[in-house]
Amino acid sequence: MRLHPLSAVTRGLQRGVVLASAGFFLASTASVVAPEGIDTAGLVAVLATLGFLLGAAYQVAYYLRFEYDLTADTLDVASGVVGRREREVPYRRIQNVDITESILHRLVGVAVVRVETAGGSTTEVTLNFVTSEEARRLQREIRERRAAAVGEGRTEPTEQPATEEPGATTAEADRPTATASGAPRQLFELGAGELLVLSLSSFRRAVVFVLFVAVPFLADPLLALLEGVLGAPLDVGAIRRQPDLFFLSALGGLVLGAVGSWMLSAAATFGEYYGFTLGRQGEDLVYDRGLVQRYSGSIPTDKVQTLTVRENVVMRALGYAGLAVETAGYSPGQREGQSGPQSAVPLATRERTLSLARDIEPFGDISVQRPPKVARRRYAARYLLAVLALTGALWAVAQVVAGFTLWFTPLVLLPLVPVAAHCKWTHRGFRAGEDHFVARTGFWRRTTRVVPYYRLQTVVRSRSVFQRRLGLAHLTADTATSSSLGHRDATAFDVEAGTARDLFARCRDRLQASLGAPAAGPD
Amino acid sequence: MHALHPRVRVRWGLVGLLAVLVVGAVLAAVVHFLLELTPLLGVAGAVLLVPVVVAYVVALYRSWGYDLEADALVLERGVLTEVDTAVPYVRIQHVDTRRGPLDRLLGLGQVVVYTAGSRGADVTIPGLAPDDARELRNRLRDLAVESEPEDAV
Repeated sequence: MRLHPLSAVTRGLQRGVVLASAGFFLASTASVVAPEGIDTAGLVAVLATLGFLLGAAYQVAYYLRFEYDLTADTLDVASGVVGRREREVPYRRIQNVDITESILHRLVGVAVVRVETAGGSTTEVTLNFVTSEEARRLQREIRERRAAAVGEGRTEPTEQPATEEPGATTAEADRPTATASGAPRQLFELGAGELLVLSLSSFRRAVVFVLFVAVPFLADPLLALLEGVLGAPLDVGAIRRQPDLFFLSALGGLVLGAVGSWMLSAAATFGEYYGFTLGRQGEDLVYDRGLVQRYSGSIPTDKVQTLTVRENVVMRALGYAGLAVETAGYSPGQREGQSGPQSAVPLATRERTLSLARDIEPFGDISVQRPPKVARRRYAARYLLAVLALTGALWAVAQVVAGFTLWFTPLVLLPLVPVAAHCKWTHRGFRAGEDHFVARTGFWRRTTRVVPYYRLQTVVRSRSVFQRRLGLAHLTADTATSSSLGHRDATAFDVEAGTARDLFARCRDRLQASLGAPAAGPD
Repeated sequence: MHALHPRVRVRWGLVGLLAVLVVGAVLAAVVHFLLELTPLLGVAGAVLLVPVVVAYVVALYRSWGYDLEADALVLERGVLTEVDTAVPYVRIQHVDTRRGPLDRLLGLGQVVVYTAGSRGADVTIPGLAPDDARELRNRLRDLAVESEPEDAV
């Protein structure tokens, strides 16, 4: 089957314009290098036209030479204009079929389909683009065929039936594979109030960089606005000449930047999660979301590695929580420049989130045991040192810059040190449950990670010099994922050293037990 | 716990000395061009760093150990931060032996164990005799095959 014919037109236009501008650039360079003897306007016209035609022709050829097909066992894609590539992706290895529709796509009724497998850090197959109906059909068909392929594999007699993952077996009983076909059963829909809370309580770090880039462009209008508010002209030079004033206005700028980032974050989150729905279709969780750009993705529940319950400080206060799921090899939505796993449930009441999470992976209690009190002292010492270091640095600046007297400003943070240390301490903890390891951390954005023992990859215990003095240790239960960027391990921070030793052994024991086989090894 | 080959200290020492040389050169340049003092101060700084490097290498060698336990390969290492890692045999994807130019010069080898975990690349056992490295690799491979035939994720 071919892509949508329009894709040849739009891609041809895009590539054509790119190459045309390259031609334009070449021609203008030539006219600068050799100003005389060259008819600049003519050269520009010729090169730009040539570039455009070349780009457009290439994309038309690309369209003509691109074919995909759903065979009995594999998704086949043959592509390439000059160098040909034929790719066969077995259905049973496919993890996700994601559909993205930007606003322009939606106007013409087309969509981009991406097929992901566990291997490889890049998308295996990208169909850019096909009609929306075709995209849905592909998503549905691939899912059905995958379920059939996996089902076939299951019915074959295996050497050790006891190795079936505990989560998968219990869940399968009440979920026959027949439901893989047909419309997904809706599990969750994000309400208007929830969307509002989610937007207002989100703070994206990426936005800070956007603001950082935008500041040079925004500086003048902002200054004009400020002058309008004050009703008097501001003398920027005068502020620069007075270090104290400069310092204060820098602080003010920081606050303004934070407010601006928050507003941008809220808007971005609103657009991203508008109309979020989550449903179940066979073994997959499927979700749809987005205001301007619609996005439809799936989470294969049989590949779930870690569940993360996310509650930021606002969500906690209002009794809400969110759920993120990490699958092996690929986290849905990674590609969009977000770090970390995608939300399965962006925001719902805490009970509802937990019950949805338990539907994916049946875990028990997630209340945790706090680190020993000595850890709190450690955090207090750390924050105290940070405040003193900042003050010291400003003091050093004050020695060099005449007229800068406000170096002691950070000292106002001193009373907050014990509060901050307590907050950090009280939101950390772990739980070594029967089948799951639970680790919690974070005050501003608290995350509670639930790791089934049978998903463990490596177990890591670490003790720094300071931790050894206080008899503490970190314990990390690592699982499989390809997203090293933004991936946060399930770590029990600052547990008592003896407990850490027990946990180190317990995680390994429980993994072996869950495999259902006696530990194979030497001696 | 098995210790590493004693010669690995030479390897670490050489790498450490190279770092000291770089630091010394930078220090000398800063002292000479920015503070306009004699560059010998930089050299003196570098010389003072040498015993630190030696002490660190000795301590690192003492801290290093690996063991093939019943269920997992266990590594212990670290001077300032002690780190213990357990890699269950079931989770081993593949095992490499690696010998860089410096390793070959000193007659050493490394074993690298890969898992699907995000910290997979961390599991390296440096400083083994080449034969020991090969033997350990084969042993780990066998242990990985013996344990569960799963897709390791």
